[in-house]
Amino acid sequence: MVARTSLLVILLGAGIADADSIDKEIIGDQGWAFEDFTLRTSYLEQNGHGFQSQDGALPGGEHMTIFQPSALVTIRQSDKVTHQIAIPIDAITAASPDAVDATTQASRRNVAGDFDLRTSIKRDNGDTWSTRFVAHAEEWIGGGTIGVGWRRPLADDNATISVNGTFGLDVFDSHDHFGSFLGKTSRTTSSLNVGGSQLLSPTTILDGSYGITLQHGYLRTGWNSVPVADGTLEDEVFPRNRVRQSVTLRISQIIPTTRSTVKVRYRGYLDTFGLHANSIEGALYQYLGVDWLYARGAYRYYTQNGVDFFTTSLMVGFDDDTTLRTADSDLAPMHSNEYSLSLATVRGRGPLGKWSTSAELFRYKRSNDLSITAVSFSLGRLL
Amino acid sequence: MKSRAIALAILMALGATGCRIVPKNRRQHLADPTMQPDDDALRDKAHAKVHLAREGAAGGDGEPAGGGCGCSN
Repeated sequence: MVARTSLLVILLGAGIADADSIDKEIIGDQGWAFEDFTLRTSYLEQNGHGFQSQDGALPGGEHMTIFQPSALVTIRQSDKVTHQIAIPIDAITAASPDAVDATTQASRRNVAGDFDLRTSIKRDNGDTWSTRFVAHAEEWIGGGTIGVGWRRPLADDNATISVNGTFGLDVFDSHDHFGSFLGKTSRTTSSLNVGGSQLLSPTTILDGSYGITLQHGYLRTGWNSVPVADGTLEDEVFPRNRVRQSVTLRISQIIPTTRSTVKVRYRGYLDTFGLHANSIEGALYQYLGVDWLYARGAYRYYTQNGVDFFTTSLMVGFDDDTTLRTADSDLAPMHSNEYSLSLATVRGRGPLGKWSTSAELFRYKRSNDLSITAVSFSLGRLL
Repeated sequence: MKSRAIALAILMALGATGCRIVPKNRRQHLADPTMQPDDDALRDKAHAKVHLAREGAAGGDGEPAGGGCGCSN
């Protein structure tokens, strides 16, 4: 009797355990939980001149200060589903960078923010599906982006391949270069990106990607002006479509003997506006005698040839509606040098335990009279 | 002819790397925090924002494209 009862209990227990394992197999381990968060605050100061700012036929002042708090939170829904939410905010105080402001006040505030939700869903076969939703809000523009992605590990996780696509819609106010409101307008942005990574050695990773983006709609900046040879100013005129392509390649190498890591990244770009660009960036990470504190120094060189229709002196006799033109200094031939230096602690190690912190000094300088200096601090914690 | 041979050699080398190279018990260095592609996601976002807003070459990398429009997208 005891033996039969025991056998029955064992069989029932096995049945219940089997049902639980089926549930876990399908929907994963139950339980929402915050996994970690990071808060970062930056203060940026921009100086320089460009035709984005109204100053007659000469480039205007581009001075602005930006306070940029941001947050990143990881939430686990189950052992298969994870959500990551990023919320960057820009609070911009600008001294006359645009026509609207130039006619009213010497400085204005513009607050912009994003809500960026990425969800990863791991499948039993090792594949990971992902979805993305982004909402952007700003004084004069609002928009959203949705996306989906897929990643598969190969060769016992020695390599991965991935594909992702996004579609975005922006709706915003249009202005002429006098600052007059011309009504609402819009543009769409569609992107497809393929990527991969490969372990080359126990200390080396190679990864790269190719992407193509199609933009359609109102692509110019309404308040920008284009100087004409006769001393007057005109509105920008852009094509209605823009196809952008880029390719990136990065190699990451850790050097165990010196407790260092080196990363080098190249990006090439071209588009149907005639703009070709290249950038090369190198970063060195160095642990400072302990396994929980490291310094990071990085340098980036960028160069672009400018769009085909860039001009700072439009020839008289142009057609108001069809002669393509811009004097936007962001689209001019130029190059830039960028430096950053930071100190960071590693979460889960050292005296800070589950906390982590970092501080960074950033300097960006363009050849056509624009520079940005930024200081940033971050704080994070495993939960 | 020589450039084709070089290109073919590079392709073959890249193809060979698709074979298993690093067993799982030798990947401890690859797990180091500094080797992660997103070792500081907010820092990378902030730097990318500067490039997006102040250079013309945004887009084509799976991120919302802006560039040269003066907007914050």
